[in-house]
Amino acid sequence: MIRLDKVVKKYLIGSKELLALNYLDLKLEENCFVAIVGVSGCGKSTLLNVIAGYDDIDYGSYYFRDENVNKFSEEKKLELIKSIGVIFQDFNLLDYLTVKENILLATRYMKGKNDLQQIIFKLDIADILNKYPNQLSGGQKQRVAIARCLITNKKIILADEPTGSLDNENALKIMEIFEKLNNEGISIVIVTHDINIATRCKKIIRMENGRVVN
Amino acid sequence: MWLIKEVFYQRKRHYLTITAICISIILVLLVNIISGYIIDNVNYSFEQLGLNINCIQLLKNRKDNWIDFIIEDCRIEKYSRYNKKQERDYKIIGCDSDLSQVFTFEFESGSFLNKTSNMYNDNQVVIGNKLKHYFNCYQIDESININGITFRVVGILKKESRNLYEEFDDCIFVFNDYVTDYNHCGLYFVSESRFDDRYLNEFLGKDNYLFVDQSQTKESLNSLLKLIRNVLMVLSFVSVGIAIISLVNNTLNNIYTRMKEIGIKKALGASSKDIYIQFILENMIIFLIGILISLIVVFSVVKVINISLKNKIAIDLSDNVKYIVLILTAGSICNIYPAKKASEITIIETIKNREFS
Ligand SMILES: Nc1ncnc2c1ncn2[C@@H]1O[C@H](COP(=O)(O)OP(=O)(O)OP(=O)(O)O)[C@@H](O)[C@H]1O
Ligand SMILES: [Mg+2]
Repeated sequence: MIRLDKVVKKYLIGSKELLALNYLDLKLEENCFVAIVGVSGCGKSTLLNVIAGYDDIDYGSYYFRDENVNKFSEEKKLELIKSIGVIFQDFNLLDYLTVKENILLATRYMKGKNDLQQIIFKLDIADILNKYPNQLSGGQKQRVAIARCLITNKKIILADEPTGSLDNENALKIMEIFEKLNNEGISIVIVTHDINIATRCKKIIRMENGRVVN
Repeated sequence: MWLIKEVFYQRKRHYLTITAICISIILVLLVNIISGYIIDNVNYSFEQLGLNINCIQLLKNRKDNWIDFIIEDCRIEKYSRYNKKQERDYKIIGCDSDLSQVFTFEFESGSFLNKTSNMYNDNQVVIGNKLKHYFNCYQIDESININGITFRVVGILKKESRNLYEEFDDCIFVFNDYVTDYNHCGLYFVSESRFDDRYLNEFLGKDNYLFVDQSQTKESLNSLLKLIRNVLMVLSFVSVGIAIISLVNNTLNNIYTRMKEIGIKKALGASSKDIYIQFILENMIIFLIGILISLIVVFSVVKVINISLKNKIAIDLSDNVKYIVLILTAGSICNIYPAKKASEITIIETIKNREFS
């Protein structure tokens, strides 16, 4: 479903070039459940941003469902962004909207709306629907972010350290949800430092200096 | 619907700009309405005084029938001769009964001198209100004595009765025939168009007469009022400009504090155009709220002012709508730049900047 060929992402630091992604090859299958691990600064977040369509690459090619993303027009790029759900550690919800409004925010820019009641039930957020993000715990916030991915039928969810600021119990709860979603056919890619989290995934991808190593 | 809600959610951000917009719009509307009212009222007062009453006053005595010559040569239809005799406590104005056709007098009781009545031989006078007390005469048909001649009072003018040239409270109107000592001799007449005084210069001699032209007075007063109004309008539009600048500045600053919002929306599939439209519409809503509040304030202010006014101020909406539309358009045009800036922000920028938001 997702294929990266010799992808390079450069950053200029002063006059020095830093290859955040260093001729990286990667293949992600339909309905995968992958953990990406690696030391800090090895390029995990950069990789997620590229996959999500947020960032352009400097070299190589990115195929999404066998289409070359490099050659995408603005509209197709937008379609790509819309078809991928991204969950960050703490950068998901708008503070001035309630939980319910935050979830429905996604339907504003995308057609097709899933049954809200079902999602609320699945993620166990019925009692916080009318609260504001600053009234929520970290685990609740992440569940709301996941709910927002589900309301518009995303087939892939990328998560950049979704459990980074959660305690063990909450982290496991999030992982359970991911497992459930994966069983329903949604591909899930998680960036994490936590080996306990990584081992619960079906596959672990290790990164070093902007490359995938095995 | 979403948009109004969002503007409302972020209202704290907008309080100051809305206040600035309100103040400036209120200023524009009030200046426009009140100055319009003053100008209208001045013109109305002129019309009430009678249209285009002109006055020629002789400064040097003449022996000839100059009034008749002027009337004939200039084809003046409505006119009245008058003489004015200055006294210590009252002025005697000798006039003909046509004066009441040139001026409208307001009477407390009685009416104007009547030449055609049977009582013509009766010595009639009309007195100004102040002279009631002076002559101890509080009703018409009483007699008063002026310089040894007995007159019958046929009219008492209303208090503060006046025209453009005179206050009448201390005036006595008698028929010309009774005034013997003519210091000044003059002519009041009505002319539809502006009276050409070149003829007077030729006929009477440049320095021998005084000519007052009501339309001239009216025009100069009007142009003065319009100047004041324009200056005030310019000032209030300057304040509109400042309000718009503050709004634009506010929006520009907000772009960086709203990076998170823009980033999240774009990550959820909002296109640059969506963001652009959102900023433009948001700005419009702010303006509309400002306009709404301003209108409410203006209407209430006018209502309050109206309590103490005899001639009520009427608000001509169509006249003010053009200013509102102008302000709204200017505000929207000025907001294109910040909206464009906001829409150009990429998701990746917002992610990298998330520590700041
Ligand atoms: N905007 C940027 N400008 C310059 N260098 C950058 C920029 N963004 C990332 N980098 C560099 O690129 C490399 C990869 O960054 P990235 O954020 O992908 O690391 P990461 O694997 O996600 O690390 P962490 O686990 O700490 O989140 C790092 O060395 C970082 O310093
Ligand atoms: Mg990272």
